[in-house]
Amino acid sequence: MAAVAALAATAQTAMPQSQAKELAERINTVASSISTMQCGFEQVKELSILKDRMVSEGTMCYRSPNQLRWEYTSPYAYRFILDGDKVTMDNGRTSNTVDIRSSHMFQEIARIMMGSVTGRCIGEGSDFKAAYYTSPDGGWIVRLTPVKKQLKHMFKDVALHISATTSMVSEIEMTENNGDRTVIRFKDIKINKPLDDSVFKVH
Amino acid sequence: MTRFSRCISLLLTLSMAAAAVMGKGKDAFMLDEGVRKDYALTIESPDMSFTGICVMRQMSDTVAGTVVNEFGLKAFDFIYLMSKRKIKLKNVVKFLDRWYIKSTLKGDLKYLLGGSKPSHRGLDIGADSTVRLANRRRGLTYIFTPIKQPSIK
Repeated sequence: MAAVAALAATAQTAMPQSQAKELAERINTVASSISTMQCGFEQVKELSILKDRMVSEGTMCYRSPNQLRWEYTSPYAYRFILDGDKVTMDNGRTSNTVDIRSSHMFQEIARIMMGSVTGRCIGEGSDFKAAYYTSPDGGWIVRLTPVKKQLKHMFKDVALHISATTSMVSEIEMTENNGDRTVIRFKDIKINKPLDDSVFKVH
Repeated sequence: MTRFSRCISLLLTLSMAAAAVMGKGKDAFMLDEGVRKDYALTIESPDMSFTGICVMRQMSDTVAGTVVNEFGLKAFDFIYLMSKRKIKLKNVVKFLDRWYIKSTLKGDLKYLLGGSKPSHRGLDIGADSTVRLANRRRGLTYIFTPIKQPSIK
């Protein structure tokens, strides 16, 4: 596993600064044009202590500027609904709504999730230091290294895989400080289709 | 005299049975060698509630496990050495990395994995194999609900 990861890492080629700037602008232009986004996702979490991995699946809905529904459907049920300043977490047994303004941690999580999904966080320079690479599949990888202390405690880095055809985020790869990775792959992405208000309400 | 002998015999039997239980220790999760178990975990306290996923597996003399939130971010890993009845926490997330929190977590996990006496703890295992532990001293309740559909692909 480590050897494969190392090979994958070496296969990435750092982009010259001028190209990196151009790519950042392209990603930001596309991100700015997204008013809604819907997709399915698969999440694979490495569990190094068990020499195993955990696979979960779900759906995601986003509406600009600040609504997000992140829902796991398998193998467990869990919903994270962000509607403005309110976040509701519901696991089928308990439901809990909090004001993200009361928790710095929630603010960071909400901001990173929405920024990563759309690619917007590439332009929000104060949280991360960005490095740009070309990917063997023809797309690009933007590797974001946290600058802030709170984020450094959560991640070693976050890599956004950008599709060459859409200039949108197709995969998010979060690496923790102990090296465990969580990879989220988006599928069946639909952009700027109408989304009902009820999607972001807890029933 | 006969009654006295019977009493001694009963006491000996009871104490031997207790010693056997304490010596061997049985985990609340009924772990089998090599078989991974996934649980939805809720930890409730008077001030807060944490939800996440706990995954564990027994491998020979060791139980290895991890607790992550639903997004996959790790809270902590743990290793329980069965023969030594010793538990270690690893890779503890910053906000839990306090000696008193780790001490409580270690004590509660050790109890759940069969390594210590109940003391101030109460354990209930439901018909659906949900494991519920109450730490009365700290006002904590842990609920481990089995995730039926395996998350291994």
